[in-house]
Amino acid sequence: MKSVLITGADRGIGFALCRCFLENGWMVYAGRFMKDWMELDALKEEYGNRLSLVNLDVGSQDSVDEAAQTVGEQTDCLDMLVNCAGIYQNGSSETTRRCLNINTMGPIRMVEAFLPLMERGDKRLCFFSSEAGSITLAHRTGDVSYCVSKTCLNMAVRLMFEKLHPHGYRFRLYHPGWVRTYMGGQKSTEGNFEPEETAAVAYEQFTSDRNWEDVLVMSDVSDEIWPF
Amino acid sequence: MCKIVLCMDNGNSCLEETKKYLGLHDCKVYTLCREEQDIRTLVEKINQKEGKIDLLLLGVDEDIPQDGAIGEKHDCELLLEVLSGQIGRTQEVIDAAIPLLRQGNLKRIGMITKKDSCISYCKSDSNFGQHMVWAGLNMLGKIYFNLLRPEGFTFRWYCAEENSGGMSAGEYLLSGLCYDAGEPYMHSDENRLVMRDAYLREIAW
Repeated sequence: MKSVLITGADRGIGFALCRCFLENGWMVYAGRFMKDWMELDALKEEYGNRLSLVNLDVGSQDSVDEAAQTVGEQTDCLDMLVNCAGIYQNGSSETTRRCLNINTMGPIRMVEAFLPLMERGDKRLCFFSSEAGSITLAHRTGDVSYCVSKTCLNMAVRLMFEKLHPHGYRFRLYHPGWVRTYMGGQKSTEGNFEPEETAAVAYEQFTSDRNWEDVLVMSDVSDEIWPF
Repeated sequence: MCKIVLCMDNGNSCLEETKKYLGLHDCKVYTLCREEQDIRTLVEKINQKEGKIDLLLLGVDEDIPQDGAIGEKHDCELLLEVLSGQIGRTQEVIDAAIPLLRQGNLKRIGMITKKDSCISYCKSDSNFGQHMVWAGLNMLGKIYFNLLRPEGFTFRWYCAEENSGGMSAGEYLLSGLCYDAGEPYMHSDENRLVMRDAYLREIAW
């Protein structure tokens, strides 16, 4: 059975992705940040041992290390890592720091901590980015914290790609579109997609093979490629 | 008329040469040293003496400590400090300079950066701090471009490479990019943020 770890799995796209992978027979390790948010518990009742809930705050090195240890005690092989956890905040130097910590440093912490488990798996690394990180197409006159954090993530993924692709790793950098998510705290009523819609496309892109794996691209919910 | 330049000096090897060039080409250059200097004090001093800034010159920091490739156990707290510190400091400098830039003739923000700041071009596999700061500053520049270009601000993003010939950073920073500043064409360099190297080749982000 193939296995995946998904960060930010409590709700929104991360939760929808958990359900997608479970429905398709995967073993899912769900990174749980909000202990009082019960959707994952209901999913656990439905899928039993094929869903493992792992306490995880990607903004904390200690938490990431503990999560890696917890998963390592349950398996010696992880096929896929999906970095979905993210926040959307703007307005001050402190919000920039928070966005960089979660959106940019979070995936770096996760990849470093889980690489040893992935060495024996399918070696697939997936990242949720955003059009907001595309310098070429940036149209915003604000949102500095969020945009910069996603640009920095794209650069970090480039560096990882150059290092790990020659060792058999495959990369997916995904822009989920404008989704009615909880990134602002409450579930947004605005957006073009429900989390389940973009999660279904993400699942297909993350799990299917490409015959051009030697190129790093950012792809979106319509299977279009975005410039950096 | 003498152009007033505020230069953020932060460990960019091309900046010294560029400052000399500007000094020889009718520019008066004020230098903001690293973190120890308060930007608002310096801007107030320039305001009292000159009443304007024509060019705010930024440069990427080449002295960011090397931190290796993925899997080499990065100190993520230190990386976060570097990242948020450098992005925040640059944003602070731009924000402080904008009122005097509005009084200037060029209304220009210039950046001396590296090809490796571009995600499309970068072939490095290491040094996350350095590369992420450089890329993040490009995005910061794009957002300010979107915000300030409608007011008539102009931007010059120059990609410096060692031992290259062609046009120097100083020349590029002072150059006009079209015959008519009001040129409406979408492809005009003045109406988009573009990075060019010494041979005026466009470097994709």
